Amino acid sequence: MLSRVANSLYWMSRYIERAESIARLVDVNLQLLLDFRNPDDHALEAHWIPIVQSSGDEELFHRMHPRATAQSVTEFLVFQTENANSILSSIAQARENARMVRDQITAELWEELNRLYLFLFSPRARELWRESPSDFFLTIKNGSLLLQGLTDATVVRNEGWFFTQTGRFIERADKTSRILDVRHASLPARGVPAAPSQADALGWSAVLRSCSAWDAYKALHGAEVEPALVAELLLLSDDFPRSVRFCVRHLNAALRRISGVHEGRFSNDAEKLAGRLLAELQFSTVEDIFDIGLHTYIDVAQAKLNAIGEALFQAYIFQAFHTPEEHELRQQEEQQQQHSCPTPPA
Amino acid sequence: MKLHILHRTRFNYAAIVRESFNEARLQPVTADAQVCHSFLLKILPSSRLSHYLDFYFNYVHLFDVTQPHTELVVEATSTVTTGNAPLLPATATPAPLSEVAASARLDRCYDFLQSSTYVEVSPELWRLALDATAGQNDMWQAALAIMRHIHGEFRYQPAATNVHTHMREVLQARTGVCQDFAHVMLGLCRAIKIPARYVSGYLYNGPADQLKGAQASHAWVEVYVPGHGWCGLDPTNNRLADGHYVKVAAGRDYADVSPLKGTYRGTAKRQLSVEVLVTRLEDNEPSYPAVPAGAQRSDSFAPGPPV
Amino acid sequence: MATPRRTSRPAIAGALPKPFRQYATGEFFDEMIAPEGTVRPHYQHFLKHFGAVSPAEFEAKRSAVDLAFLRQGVTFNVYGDSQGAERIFPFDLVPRIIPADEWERLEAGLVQRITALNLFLHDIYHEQNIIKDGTIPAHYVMSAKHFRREFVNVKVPRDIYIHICGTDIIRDDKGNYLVLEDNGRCPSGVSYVLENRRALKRTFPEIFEAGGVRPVETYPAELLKMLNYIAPAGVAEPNVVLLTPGACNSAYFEHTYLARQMGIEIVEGRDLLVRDQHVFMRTTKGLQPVHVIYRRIDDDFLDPTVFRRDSALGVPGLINAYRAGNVSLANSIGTGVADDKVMYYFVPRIIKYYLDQEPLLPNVPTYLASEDADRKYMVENLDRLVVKAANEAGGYGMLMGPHATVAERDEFRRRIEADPRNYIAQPMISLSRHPTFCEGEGFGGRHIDLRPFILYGEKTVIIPGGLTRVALRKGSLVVNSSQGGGSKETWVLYGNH
Repeated sequence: MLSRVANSLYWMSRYIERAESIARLVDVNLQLLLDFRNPDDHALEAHWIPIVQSSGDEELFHRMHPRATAQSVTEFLVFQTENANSILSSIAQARENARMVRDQITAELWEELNRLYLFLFSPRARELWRESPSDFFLTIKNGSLLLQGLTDATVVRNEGWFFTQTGRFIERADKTSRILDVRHASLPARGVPAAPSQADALGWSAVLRSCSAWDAYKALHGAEVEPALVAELLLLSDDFPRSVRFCVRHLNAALRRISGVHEGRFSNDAEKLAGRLLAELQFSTVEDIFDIGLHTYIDVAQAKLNAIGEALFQAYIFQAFHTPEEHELRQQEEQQQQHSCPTPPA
Repeated sequence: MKLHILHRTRFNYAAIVRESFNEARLQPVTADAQVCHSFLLKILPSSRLSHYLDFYFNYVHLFDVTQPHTELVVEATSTVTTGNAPLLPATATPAPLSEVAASARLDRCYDFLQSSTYVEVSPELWRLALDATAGQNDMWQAALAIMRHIHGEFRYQPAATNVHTHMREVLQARTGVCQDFAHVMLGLCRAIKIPARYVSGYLYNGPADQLKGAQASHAWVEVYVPGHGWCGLDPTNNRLADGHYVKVAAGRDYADVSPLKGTYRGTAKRQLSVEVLVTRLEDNEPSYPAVPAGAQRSDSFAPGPPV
Repeated sequence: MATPRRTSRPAIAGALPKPFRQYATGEFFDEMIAPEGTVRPHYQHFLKHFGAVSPAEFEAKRSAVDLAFLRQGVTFNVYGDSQGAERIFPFDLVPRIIPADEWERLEAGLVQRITALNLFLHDIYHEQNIIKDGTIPAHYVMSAKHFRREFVNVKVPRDIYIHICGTDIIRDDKGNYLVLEDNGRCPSGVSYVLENRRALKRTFPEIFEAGGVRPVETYPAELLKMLNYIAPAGVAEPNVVLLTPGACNSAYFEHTYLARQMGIEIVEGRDLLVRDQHVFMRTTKGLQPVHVIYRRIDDDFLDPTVFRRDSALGVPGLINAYRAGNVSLANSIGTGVADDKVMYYFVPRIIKYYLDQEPLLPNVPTYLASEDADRKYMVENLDRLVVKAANEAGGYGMLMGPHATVAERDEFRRRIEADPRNYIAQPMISLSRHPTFCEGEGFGGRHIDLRPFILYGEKTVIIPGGLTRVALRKGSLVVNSSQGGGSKETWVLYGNH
């Protein structure tokens, strides 16, 4: 398979997943506001800043917006195309990647992605958002789920499919860990946290709902929200499809299907790093994690996911260029004849 | 006159670049009275060299440096014997201007009567050419008049133009360097149907300039004189091309004979430095024939195997 | 143009199926219906079945086909539309039918023509005998926009220049076949031929079951066979790829379609790179060698080192790899000379020169603006002529004299005087017409042309038929997809009925 095609499939899939995650995160946190009793500016700021932080674009946000409010954060995370990771930017990039490999994806997938793109960039998108934010986010979440369902149901399980899987699971693992990290300020630096206050419990349930994990949690642990149990579900569950461990397991499997190398061995750094991270998640308890500190642990995990992405790029995208500048084609021509021309001897 | 030429071009890039593919037209021709005894082209980082003869029988060397690099050095050295006298004296009157249109029908002249990348044969140019050649009946004398006109009316000014400056802009600004002067002269000659082509090469200007480091590559013009062939005229110096001139390549204009051109991927930030050193050798100093058979220049249009 | 007058129908008109009873042939040559109102023999079998289809059924079939084309992405991109809008090339369900004996003559004429053109290209890029002999003046070749000086004396694989040719053929008001132009660069449209056939087979299976129509489905296999044939010497199992400018190109559907049908990789310039004068593609399994490139990119954009310096579509070093014989290109470089409409004028001479034969398929009479007498005639008779720019395609840069305004004619007169080399003129040919379903009108006569696709490899292969394009606007003679054209199925029969 052409490296370019693999790369496009990988990013298409990552961006679709990213848009869905942001939609869920913003949606849940907007709803959470409804439970606040007379929130002041400070409380609102404290509510939204961690969410901006979780997107990884805090610096850009502060350059564009003086204060973190529901309005400014939603604008930034949903509509602003200056933010390369906003929902609109993500879907635009997913579509652009899909367009480049239009012949390698199914017509259904392309049509649906194109439809979602056209909707988001039409005036109707803002209208719907003003009328009913939750309907708006539902449209995006449904769109993404439909795309994933279509991929699952219509795409041949070839090399391209496994690159799609790789992108999906690496992004999902990353986003789950970031959403979990939103509440880290309410936790002690180390050690298993005590039962949360009522307000805090609301925050933790928002974390669960942001990951579509509320029902899974309730089924396992009842309605009492405990940070340690939330962390355990979102990081270490072997069965919950958005947990980091689950994602890394599928990521690892997809990588091995690409190369044909069996478990327990590796043929490139991406496989080595993914195998290592999986083993670590499989042989960790939530107590281990809180010993290190949840925030520290998540930081390290994210760095490892990044390293896997980077290694994947190195392994399969021959002679990868890291910046557009490096790839830019330049002309060179000897401009010698514009230097001082000789004069003949007198 | 026997001359030794060193032409070194150095590109320094601000960051790593790669995928550099280039063409060099740096090998002096062996044609008419000029003989190229030896030629060496050295590329660093070292690279496999290949060559072909282009449509105008110029030697083109190709090389590529695909691996990451921050510096590219192209060094050409050659030994050349030039004919001493110009092909045609300045006083000659070989062909009436009125008959010059006949040469337009010659295949070998066709390309050198048309507009080209940097030269536009326009009605405005035609009027200028008529003014410059008023009173001339002979085509060679007309060409000399055009050369004098340019030398008198245009100011030589380095850095006023760049490598891609079109003749139109030079006509406006009335300043430029040898490349620009040659383009204007091509336009004026072609406007009155004198076939004219662009020549790139070197000018040996004695030991004094050599010491000052003032040497560079040079450009001038050749016009087609029926019965005599291509005769060189240098509008920059108002002078006939004689034994001081070393011819490297000829074409419709600069675009056909650019000494070095290519593409690469990477940063646009780079520095270019060029050194040219032309030294006179004693006529009996040894030189080594390095030009393979088949490199002889031929001026016929038909691009069959050159003789 | 005069409005078509209705032909009175003698008793035999009863032979026409109901939807065609109101059909008027006018003063044009009609492909289906003879001047006396009878159905031409080679259409009778088709009409017998087609006449049995009710209007409602026809309408249902029509919308089913349109929907299928849109869904399968059988579309062309509209330039300048950033929304990625794609349109289907309108498809008319009534096929154009060519009897066996007519096709045989066409085929022979096309084989003769492509052979002569390839010999011509080889000659002008090598010995140039045809110029030295004075058969074609040198300046016409030298001034051809697509004459590639860089490619003189370069040996090309198997000495073939045009591997794939799309030659546009029209019929005049007498029904004579005439060649309108040769497309020897990157002719497109063959995917529509194949898709139209598929669509029509699904729509009218009963008509095909009766047999008699020669298949076109072998095209991808023949194309691949030809591409394998031109592989560099010593390469037993060549890796063939299709090089596309990318998803934004108007013919991108065709590129992906053909690549998929042939089972070859479709690549963009950035997927390829050159190492030591060999071409490779970047895959997830590392660099893989590439031996043959079916390129759908114009010469200018192939290699920024040699041609357009600003081209980001091309592959630096590709031309040198080609020159070294390590990779083959189809079509070769510099074939655009043969597309030049001034060169078209000389094709009958070219055929005579290299093959010592008279052309089997005549040209449309043509005037060259660079010849004084022709130019004089042209500027004085602009209201009767079609003027074309020598190097434009797709119906651009054209003046339809009889339909033009005075201002338009003046503009062209000025252009012709300023740059005679770039203009030719032809009398207005009244293209043959074909019954075509027209919204709100039922079946009406519309002008058509024909583009057969010719493969020139070990042997010359022409798939029976080709792309019949139809000018859907009433009275229009412009069949190009960009200017309101549509397409039809083309059937070549095994027999004459």
